[in-house]
Amino acid sequence: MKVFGCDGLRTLVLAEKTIEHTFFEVWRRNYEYAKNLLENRSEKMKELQEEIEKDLTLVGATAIEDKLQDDVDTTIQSLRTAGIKVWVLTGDKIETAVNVGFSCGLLDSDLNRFIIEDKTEGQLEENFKRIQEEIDKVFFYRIYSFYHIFCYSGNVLF
Amino acid sequence: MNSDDSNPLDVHTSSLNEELGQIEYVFSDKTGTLTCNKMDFKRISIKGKSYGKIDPTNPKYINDYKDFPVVTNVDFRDRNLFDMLNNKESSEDLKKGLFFLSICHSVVAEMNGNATVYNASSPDELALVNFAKFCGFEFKGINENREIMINMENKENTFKFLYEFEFNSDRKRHSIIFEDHKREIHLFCKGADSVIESLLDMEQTKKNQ
Repeated sequence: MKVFGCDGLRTLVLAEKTIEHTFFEVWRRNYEYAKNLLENRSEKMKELQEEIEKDLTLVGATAIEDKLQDDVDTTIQSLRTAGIKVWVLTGDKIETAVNVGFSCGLLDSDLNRFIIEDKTEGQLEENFKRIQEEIDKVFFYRIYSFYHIFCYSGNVLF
Repeated sequence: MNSDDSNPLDVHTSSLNEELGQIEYVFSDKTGTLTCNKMDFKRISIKGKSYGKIDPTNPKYINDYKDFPVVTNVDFRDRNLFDMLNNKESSEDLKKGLFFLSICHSVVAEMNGNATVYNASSPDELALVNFAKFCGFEFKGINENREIMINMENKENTFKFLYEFEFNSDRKRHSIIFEDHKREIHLFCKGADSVIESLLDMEQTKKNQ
């Protein structure tokens, strides 16, 4: 999985299960009932979907490539030469995002890279503090470098 | 901007340059902006065996597609997959994977004369369904009896459609429930690895690896 992501590919995982008839009949009755509820319909349906979408068996994985547009790397280079800071927002997983960053010239191996992967605000704040200290240390002799920070949380931006 | 003579660049105001010069940050999204949003199917991994990463100098590299169904959004060159598929003893898992791709999606098929035309909400979906077709597992649509029609290795098969839970950015997965000709009920679910991982029955998955 990680290998696919590292090559800048979009990955999906396939999983399956066989459902027993007795379980299914009960589930179906509940789901049909939930579909016609006037209140909390979507919550109830979501709950029932989650009840059946579990204990799956892995089948495999797929990888799809989304090619870069022409001249993206030179465009980003000129923006950077002009002193413009470029941010890219994406819902990709970190490996894919980093890899696309490299292939479009947004990142290079000379840059210090920080990855923040936190789900709570408390963790996030702590990490930002740590990075700030690190940057202060390095900034002294790497004054012309840009710092790219990937921020990735439970709420994904598309 | 058009470089031919019919529509040359016309400068109305020069202050624009100065305004552009004040830009400090550029925020860009990725898909469709940095990238073409033209998805090509590249690789598949079934039961720990991966297909699709192949060097053009490899004798198993597929140079031309003349023996394959014509599809868009597929750039798959690994003949090893087809060798495996033709090997009766070891092809079971691979066939299941390809069948999976042909049935678990939200693509709509329309008949245009004799040809099936796919309508998909996303090019990713199109790439997956087309790859299945490329390998001989063709989705033919859903008939009036709510049966999913799949042509597998030149045989027509139907599966009773029961439920579909659609993909959204919250769920990050797409599921379909259907009944096969043995009256077995199956749930197929595809989605982001971060999500599917937590839905797996670890014991079962390990046994199958």
